[in-house]
Amino acid sequence: MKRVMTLFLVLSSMRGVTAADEATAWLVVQPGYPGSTRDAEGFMRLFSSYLTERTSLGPLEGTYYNLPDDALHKLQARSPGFALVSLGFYLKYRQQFGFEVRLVSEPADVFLIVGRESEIQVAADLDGQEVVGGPLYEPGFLTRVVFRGRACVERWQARPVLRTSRALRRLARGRYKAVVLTGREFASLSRLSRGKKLEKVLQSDYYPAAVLVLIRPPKSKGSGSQGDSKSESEKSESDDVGDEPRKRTKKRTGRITTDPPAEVGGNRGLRAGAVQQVLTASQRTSLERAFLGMEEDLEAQDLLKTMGARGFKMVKPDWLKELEGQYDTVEKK
Amino acid sequence: MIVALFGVLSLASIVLSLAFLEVRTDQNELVSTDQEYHRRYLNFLDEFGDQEFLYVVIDVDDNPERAAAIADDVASEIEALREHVKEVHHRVSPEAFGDQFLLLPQYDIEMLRGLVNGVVQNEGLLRRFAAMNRLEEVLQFFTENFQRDSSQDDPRVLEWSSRLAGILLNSMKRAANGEKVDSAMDNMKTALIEGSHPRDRGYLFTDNGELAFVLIMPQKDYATLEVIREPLRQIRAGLDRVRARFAGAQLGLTGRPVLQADEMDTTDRDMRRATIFALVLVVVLFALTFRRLRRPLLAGLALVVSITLTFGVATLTIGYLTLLSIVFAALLVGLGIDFGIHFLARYQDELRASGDIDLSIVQTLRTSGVGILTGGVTTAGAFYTAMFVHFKGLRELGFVAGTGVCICLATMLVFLPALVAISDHWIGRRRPLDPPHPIRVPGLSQVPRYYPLVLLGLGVPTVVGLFFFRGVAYNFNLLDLQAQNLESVQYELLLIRESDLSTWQAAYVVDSVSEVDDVIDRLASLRKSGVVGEIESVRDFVANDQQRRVDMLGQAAHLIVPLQLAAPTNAIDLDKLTGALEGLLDRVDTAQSQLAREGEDAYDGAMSMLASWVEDIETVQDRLMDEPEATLARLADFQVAWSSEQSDLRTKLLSILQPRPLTPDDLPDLVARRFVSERGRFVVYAYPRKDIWDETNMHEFVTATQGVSDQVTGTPLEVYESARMMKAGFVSAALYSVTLVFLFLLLDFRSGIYAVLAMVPLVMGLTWLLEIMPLFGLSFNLANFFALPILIGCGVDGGVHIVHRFQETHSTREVSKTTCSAVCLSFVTTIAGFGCLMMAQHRGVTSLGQVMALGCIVVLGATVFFLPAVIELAVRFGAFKVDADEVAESSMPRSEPREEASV
Repeated sequence: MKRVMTLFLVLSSMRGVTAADEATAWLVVQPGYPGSTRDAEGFMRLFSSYLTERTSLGPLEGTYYNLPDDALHKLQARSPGFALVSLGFYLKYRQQFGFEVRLVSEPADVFLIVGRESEIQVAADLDGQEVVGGPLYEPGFLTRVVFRGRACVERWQARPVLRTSRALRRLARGRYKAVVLTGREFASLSRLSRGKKLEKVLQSDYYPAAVLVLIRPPKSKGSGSQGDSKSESEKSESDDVGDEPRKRTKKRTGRITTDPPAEVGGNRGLRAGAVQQVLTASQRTSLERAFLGMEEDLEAQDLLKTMGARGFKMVKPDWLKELEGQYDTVEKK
Repeated sequence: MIVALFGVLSLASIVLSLAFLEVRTDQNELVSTDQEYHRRYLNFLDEFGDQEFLYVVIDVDDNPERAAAIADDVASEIEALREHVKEVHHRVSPEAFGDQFLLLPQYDIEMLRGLVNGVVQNEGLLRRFAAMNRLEEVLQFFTENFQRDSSQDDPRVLEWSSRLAGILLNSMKRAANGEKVDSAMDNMKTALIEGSHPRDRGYLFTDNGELAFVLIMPQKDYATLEVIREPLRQIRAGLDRVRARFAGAQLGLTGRPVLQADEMDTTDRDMRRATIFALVLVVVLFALTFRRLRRPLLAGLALVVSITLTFGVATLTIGYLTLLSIVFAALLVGLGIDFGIHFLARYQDELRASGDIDLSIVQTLRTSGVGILTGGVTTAGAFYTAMFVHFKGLRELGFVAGTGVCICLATMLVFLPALVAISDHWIGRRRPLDPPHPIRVPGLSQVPRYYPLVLLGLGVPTVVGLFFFRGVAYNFNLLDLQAQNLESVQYELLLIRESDLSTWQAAYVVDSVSEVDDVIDRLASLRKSGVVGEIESVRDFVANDQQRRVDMLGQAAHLIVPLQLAAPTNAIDLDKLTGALEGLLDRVDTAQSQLAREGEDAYDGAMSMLASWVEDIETVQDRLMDEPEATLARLADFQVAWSSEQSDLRTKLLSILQPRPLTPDDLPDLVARRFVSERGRFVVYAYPRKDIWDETNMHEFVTATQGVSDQVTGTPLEVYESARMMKAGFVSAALYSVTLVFLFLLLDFRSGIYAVLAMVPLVMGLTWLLEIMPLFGLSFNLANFFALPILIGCGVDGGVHIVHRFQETHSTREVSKTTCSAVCLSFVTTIAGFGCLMMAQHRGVTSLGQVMALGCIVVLGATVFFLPAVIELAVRFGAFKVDADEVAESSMPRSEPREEASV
């Protein structure tokens, strides 16, 4: 009997170890970026391993998405504790999934509309024309914030693409009217356009490529500013998200929960039975420290380079509030 | 008769020296073969050939590929200069080692292990690749290969795959365009051999990769002063053409032969300019003092005859002149003219007094002639003492210069009087001779009267100066002597700053490879301590772990042997091929877009490689769209050729993976010539880590490398020992000459006190010089050390003339008035001559001018102020029997000096 008990204890402890070692999920969501989830597996493995070593979150398992729909499905099925998402993605889904921005990536970059030399005088010339580009995966963000008042993506025949280099080659050949891309991409690729001169039609202000968000699904309708005011924009872009029932999550600290989803507004959050992870205060602190320390950490340089970043810094709440305001206000108009 | 005799002798000397006199500019000629270290160096040169290369230094500027391209271009430019260049090395290509190249130590054992593991781990891929005989399959293979999670792959395998894909796509493009396609497999072999850094492809780079090199061995002509004048001009023109093709390229030429040639060129230009200035100055001085130019010009003619005669004697005795002994002519110009000045000054005094030409000449020779003779003999003796030093170059200079002074003396005491007599008689027959203008320096005659003041004024500071005297620094650094704006100097300094290499190196000649290992082992500690930088030997090519490498490669060979190769086919499917091209283009676009997101520059390696792939793929796609059938047919032919060549590749791979061990006998000529002699002996080169031009560093390097083996040789040792010997030689020569000069003076005056008095200006002058030099920030170096024997030679001259005149007149006032004025003129011409050197760009020449000018000024001061004051003191203390009237006369104040002839 004693031997059976001992065996049971050993097995229990083994199971306990297994449970404790279960990897915490996290996401990188960069709509319109090149590569695929599969392509980025190696990178995400290295990134997760890096963060595992430098945080108190335990084993981490990250997944990269460059198509918003894929990311949304993942988010609805299992809410991770944190994610690195594009600014557009954050603005659109911040209330639905309870995103809270902690850090922003550096350096910031501009968005550009690029056309063949002397073909487009003003952005309005693009109305009804075929325009492609990675950032077009987030049309609302472009119209309401990036090119606010200067260009309206909805009036174009906008087609999001993942391969900017091909888009630029085809633009040079006359296949498209314009391409939307980042300043860095243009600087790098425009010289490869084989003698065809391309020029900037419109240039935006500077925006960070990624923001680190903690994910704390809203407790209930009316609790907290983000959960309270469901923006009209979310309603308008809800077609992108899918039609799962909205959910409301219950905050649990530090461990994985499987609360049923709750409806929080016009959109839907976690699916029924979705897994929800919420980071504890110390975990959040260690996570922020890890990201903030990347710039000075030699081991992080390859990771940062792949992300096209130099490092991360704390977000300025006023700046963020203004952006959120822009995103929401325009829609109301 | 005399004039005719000298004329004939002079002409004969000119003919003789033009016909037989050699100019040997090889620095090795300066050191005697009696010296063990020098004999060792000559033996080394004899066995391994001249190792003093010119270095084209290319600043890599973070772009090694461009640096390699520049090196290629430089090499092809210079190789075209066949008649001026013997050898050009910019690359030791691994291909030169045939199938044994993987045994080269540059591919370290970890890299080999990675290669073998790459083959072992990718056995499946290899097997699949070997079984492919259709282009679409190969394209699909590359697409999948790039799609896989690359973080798990050996980066080298990915790199090779990329290169192979690039070659395939480029070949496909050429085939689709109907262009001639080079053997794709040949290209692939090259791609496998080539490493990511040009250094792996055998280009010469420094260890830190900051600089690339091209080594040039020019045709050296030791009959010219610059040795490599024309080759250097041609090479520099070639480098200019390279610069024009590579905008902004930073490259320059350096190395010991270039530095020497530039030094010669600079000094030659400096000397020419200085000579012209000096000549103008001397003519102006003569015109001011003699008020006539005829007689000084006759003295100049006598000087020219002296120099030509010296050339003749040098031809008959030594038969050649070296870099050092060739300067005798400059010395004679400075010193020889003084004899003429003294003669003419006295002659004019005599002529003014007597009006009789012949009598004046006889009287001058009888009186001043003795002083000139003593001064000349002591000066010659001072130079002859250099024959007792160990340094051969200095010995020969001593002989030639001493003989030259003797000849000059003979010319000025025989030929010049004859010339003057003929000239004056000839003029005298036509018209009365103008009365000669006496040479007088105002105020000098008052020196004896104020002797206490002069003695105190000069003596006290001298004594005080001795208390504070801490010695004069000696700068050993030969590079500091060069004009600093020279390209060769700038690149030498760059080499010192940016690399572990140097244009100088120590060399150990040993009998076997095991002894090579032994020397390398012993050098290891010096390398660790930072004394030695890079070490080069046959071990850079013949690794000592050959068998281990062969065994390791054998593991990969086992997997290649059973590979089944697919039979070539010309079957090709348009749809599948188009699909495969589109799939690969997709991957390339993704990769390019990702790199753009990362901010990669369009011209960076990966980005530009991907861009060329895109271009190749899209060209093939366009061709397939424009003329599908013809393009498909051409691609089918290419497909057959591609598959057929796989068999060659397999064979080649197997021979590379199953090499026989590399031995010194397998080394290509280029490498063997540098490291293995025809007698089968080996050399190990050790490069200094620190700035070898600095004396402390050179001493440390030479001592340390001698500690490894006393059989060490090489440029640093040669320069170090020669410079040391030269310095010691100058010091010894100076001491010997001072002693000898004193003995001559004793013999001449037959009086200790007169001999001592004649030495006073020299001793005081040199003391003042040593005290003053640090105040002017001057130090001795190998260029201006030469000033010492010259100063001794000419410094004693003035004293001799003054003491002789005093012996003759027993009047210090008379001496100060007449002889001191002549001494002033002779010194001022010397100061003017050497002072012009201060305008030189070559800092060694400038410093020689500075020390000589300063030295002459202080010796002149000691001669015309201090010596008369000392003599006056001696007279006052009754050291000489002098008429009371004379003493009284010299102490009487006079409003105007008397103009009177010398007695």
